[in-house]
Amino acid sequence: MTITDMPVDSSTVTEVEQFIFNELLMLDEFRYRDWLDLFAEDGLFWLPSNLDDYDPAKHTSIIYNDKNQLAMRIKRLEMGRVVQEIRSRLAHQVSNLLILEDDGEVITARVVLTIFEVQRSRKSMYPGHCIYKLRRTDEGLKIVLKKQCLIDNDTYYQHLAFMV
Amino acid sequence: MTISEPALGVQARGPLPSDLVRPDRIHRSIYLDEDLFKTEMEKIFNTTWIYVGHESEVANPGDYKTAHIGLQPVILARHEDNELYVMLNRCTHRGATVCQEAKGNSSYFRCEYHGWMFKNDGQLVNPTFSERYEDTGFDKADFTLPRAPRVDSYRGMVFASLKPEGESLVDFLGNAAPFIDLAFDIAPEGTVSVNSGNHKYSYAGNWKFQSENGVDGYHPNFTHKSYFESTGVPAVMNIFGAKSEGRAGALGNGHGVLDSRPMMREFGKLALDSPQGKRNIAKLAERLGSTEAAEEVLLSGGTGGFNLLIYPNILMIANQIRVVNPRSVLETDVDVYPYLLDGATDEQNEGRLRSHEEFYGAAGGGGPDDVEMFRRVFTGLNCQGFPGADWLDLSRGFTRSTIEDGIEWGHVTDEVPQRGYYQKWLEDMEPTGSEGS
Repeated sequence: MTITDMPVDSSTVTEVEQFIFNELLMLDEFRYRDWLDLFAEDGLFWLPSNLDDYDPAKHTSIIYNDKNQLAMRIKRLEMGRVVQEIRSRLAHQVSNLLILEDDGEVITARVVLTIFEVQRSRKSMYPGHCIYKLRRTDEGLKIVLKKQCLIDNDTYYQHLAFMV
Repeated sequence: MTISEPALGVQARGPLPSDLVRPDRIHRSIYLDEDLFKTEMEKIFNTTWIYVGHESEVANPGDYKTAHIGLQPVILARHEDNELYVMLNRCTHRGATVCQEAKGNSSYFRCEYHGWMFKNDGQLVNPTFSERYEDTGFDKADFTLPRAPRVDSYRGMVFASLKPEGESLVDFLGNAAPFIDLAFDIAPEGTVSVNSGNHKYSYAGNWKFQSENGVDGYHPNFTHKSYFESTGVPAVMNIFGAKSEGRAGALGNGHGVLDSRPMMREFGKLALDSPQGKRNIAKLAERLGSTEAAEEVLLSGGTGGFNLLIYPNILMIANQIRVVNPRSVLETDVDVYPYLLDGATDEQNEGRLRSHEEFYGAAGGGGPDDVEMFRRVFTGLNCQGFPGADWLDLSRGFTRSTIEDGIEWGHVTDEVPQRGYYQKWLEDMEPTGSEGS
């Protein structure tokens, strides 16, 4: 991991922080349509499998979805797919925000993110880090990339069907 | 002081397998009984050909990957002589595993406990501080990592058998082999590569349930309804619908297939009639020797047209090889390996990975719904002594199957593959004839 010594404007930090807090709140509250609207048209959600980084054209991922595929994923959750018939309750906890890069158009940020999940009486946690690439647009920040690297991405999961 | 010997070689305790399998149903103990599980490890996994990996995972000398034969940790390694060895991952000194990584390249495996080093064909190089073994009768040749006596591969799929003699791999695969051919022949070079990572999931239930579910053509329209509906193409539900022309087959030796090719043909034919389709047929016919064979492969779309179960624990579905690993009677780990087609364009192979992830894996559009159903089944099976709750039904289409070239076929929603699976299970668990009494 590179250590960033880039001078960061505190208003950028606050803007990014508030954006991510709101984004994760939408997931906690199952406001999936609002959440999808945060993505740029060319936005991507990536949940790597086995490793944190690789060429996704050569190695499979747990999720590697463009905005259309995310819309289908949301549709299945809204339909009450079998594995979420009893819906997982979620708390996304985020910290350690670093602004890695800001070229004026796109801000690259890294956070530590843990999802706490409860389904029936089963309690799970999914810690890891998340890389965001956020584009400045007239409508505010839009997600170009959300790459969530779980520290247990090479282990056996029961399911991650609550994850969008 | 007397220490009583464990009762080795004595028939395992627990229910008698032949009391648990009826032609049209099975007893719930098959999934729940710990003694039966131990017997399965011995009589199925220590006997049958078990898939341990693909040649492309160990393509070069020194390459290795770890796997399991039942509960036993093994290493599949390619030695400098280019031969494949399947060895127990267990130091012959004090029993520690000698290889910790899922895969890699190394000429030696070193046990970190007392420093013993083994070549990647299993031979012990020398015990450390070897002078203290002088005059003890120690012969390092006795300390080779135990090897599977038989290792063989079919179309790159490597299997091992702990039984020194018996049915050859190709005889064991039998009617399943032509389906493996159909799956891999679609690759422009006729081979595939299993080096694209995997998906892992586990469930608190018996390993056989996942194996069977892979060829259960009755569940998709219910368990996976949300997936089919989310695609916006309702016609896909006809593939596993009541009026489907698809078939479910018991291939013999416990192998099974869901053959939806009759339903896919219509879509496939359109593509093959195009100029590009005709070029594809001609190119493939050159390799396979006939236009008919080429058409068959392209219409199958690899495994797009069928689900294959290789007894006892391998599934070939869509773009994947799936390995079902028993961990205990009620704990199962599943590894799903998508594979790429050698000679296909990068775009085609990337497309295979993306379409694989659509349905499979811990966050896929379909796989987790299966796992949820396994969870519900194993909750429901906790019913000791409740009247009428001991048997699970497999009678669907029981009286209507037909035999064709040694394969028993029924409607795609019939439980033909499951019935065939449990007949083979019974043969393995309770062999009749010379081995009995």
